[in-house]
Amino acid sequence: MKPRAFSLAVAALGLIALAALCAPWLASQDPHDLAQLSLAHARLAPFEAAPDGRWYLLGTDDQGRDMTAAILYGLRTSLGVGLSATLAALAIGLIGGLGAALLRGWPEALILRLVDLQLSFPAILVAIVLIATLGEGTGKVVSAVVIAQWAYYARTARAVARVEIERGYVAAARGLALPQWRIVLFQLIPNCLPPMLAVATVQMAAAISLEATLSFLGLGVPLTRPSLGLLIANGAHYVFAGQYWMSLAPGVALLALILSIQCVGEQWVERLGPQGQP
Amino acid sequence: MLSEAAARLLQSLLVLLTMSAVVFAGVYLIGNPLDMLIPPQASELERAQAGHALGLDQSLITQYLLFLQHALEGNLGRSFFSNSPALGLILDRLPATIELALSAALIAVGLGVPIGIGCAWYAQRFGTRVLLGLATLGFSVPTFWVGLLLIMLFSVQLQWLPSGGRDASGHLFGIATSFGSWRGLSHLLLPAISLALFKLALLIRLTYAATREVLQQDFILAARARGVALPRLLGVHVLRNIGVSLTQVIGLEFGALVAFSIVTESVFAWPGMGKLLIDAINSLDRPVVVAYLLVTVTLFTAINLVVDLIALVLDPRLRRAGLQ
Repeated sequence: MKPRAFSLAVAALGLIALAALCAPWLASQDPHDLAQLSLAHARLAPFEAAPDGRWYLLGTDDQGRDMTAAILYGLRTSLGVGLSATLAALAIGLIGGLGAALLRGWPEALILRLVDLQLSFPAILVAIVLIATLGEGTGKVVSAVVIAQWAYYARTARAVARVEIERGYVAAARGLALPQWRIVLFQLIPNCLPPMLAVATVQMAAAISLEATLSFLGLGVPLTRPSLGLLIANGAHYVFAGQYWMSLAPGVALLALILSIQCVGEQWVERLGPQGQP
Repeated sequence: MLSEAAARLLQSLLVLLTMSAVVFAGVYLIGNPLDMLIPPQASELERAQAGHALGLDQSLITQYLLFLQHALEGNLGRSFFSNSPALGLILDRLPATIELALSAALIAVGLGVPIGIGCAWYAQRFGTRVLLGLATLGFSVPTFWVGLLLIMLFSVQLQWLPSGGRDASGHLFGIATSFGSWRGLSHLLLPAISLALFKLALLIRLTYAATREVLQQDFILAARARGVALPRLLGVHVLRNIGVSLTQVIGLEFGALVAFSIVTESVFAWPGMGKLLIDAINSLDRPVVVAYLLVTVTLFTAINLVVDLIALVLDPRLRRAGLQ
């Protein structure tokens, strides 16, 4: 990918994140507040005028919700779930991978076996099964995504840490008789982080896609705080009636979000070279 | 070779055993097993009886061995709703899912590998950049939304293809399958494309990267110097060298296709076992969920085993390398 495309992806991601952050000021209404909705405005096509002459850029859904507002708020949910799941999985994977690289011996073998075993099953299957056992809800979705993804981070963290441990600065720190926790916390982790963050960006795209898929299947976030996946699921019922806009626009927003994160992450991984490859 | 194969088989059996323990732990230890195994409307007396009948008053190890024994006998309990054996329900739906996953795999491999090799050979062309860009797009777009787009376009707007359901009234080699009739194929086409798209993008990218690497090696230069024709160079010399890693990826991704068909089946109302799983989860039909899990785990382990064995056959170097 060319640097121009990379800057474009970063800019797009920045814009999307900004729009999600500023949703309360950008949106014409709070789409979660049923008191602000009017059924007289339900299922209006884009630019179609309501009885009172009002029209909506992206149309309205079956509750009379402005799709633009719903998408802006949906972006918040999708990004929020994606971010928190990514950070948690990153932390768990980092601890597991570093632990494996530092301890060696049977703990390393055990962690590697666990990672291999889990990676032989697709994340979507792991996540669906977890939701089936844990139950539904935003917190459960986050934990399902974390459990489905931690292994990717653990594998990268171990590979990176094994290289870093052999470096001169670690030997120097050991020569200074610095305690182990200080070496790990202030030397090893900061040096392992760049490739881990690059992997995390690619995985965040996967996490957002996973959350959207779970929500689409009705196994994700609650109906009261719809994410983009749930908006698409709601709109899917009206596709057969030709009322395409309810699932088309949230999908485009979701695709733009995932694509920009994916492009940024891939370019980052590429720049770091083979060491950062998961 | 034979000892390697035996070792992999043993490994697979170990994985199966581990996964059965995980499924057991998931279903029997999280929450009250009785809540999961008998319908919520049962009375106290019925609960106590069921608890005794299921052996829940015995030790954990005994319970797990009992669970294993029942699983090996093919007894995974009865569905709460249809009251038929859960395993039978899953196995009835298995052909539809395999059919869908297989068609998607054919589309993804049949298009992805040639496109990937072509892109690597014509790396500087404009068309290559367009194709690789499209592959990145296909890599990011959520499967279920692609399905909806296909329905919007081909079923609702153009009305060319049906939007859902399966038609297995046709027969091929005596088996009732969608491949047996044009109607069956027309029902299969959209779900198969929707399921294939992500893997197609993945295969284009992987084949492209692997071919780029192979093309830089000396034997390619030697073959070109000998005047080997382009189709033979790409179709034999290159393909054979990217083949081992590709077979492994394709094998593993076939498992992923089976898993992802859960989503596609829900979009297109395709009566496979993934749709059954979602219905079972939504109606808290735990025995069916357990049966789905054990069947899928077995399927995945079998796929992994076959992939490993194929790699042993394709790449003689692996036979001597041994297991790590």
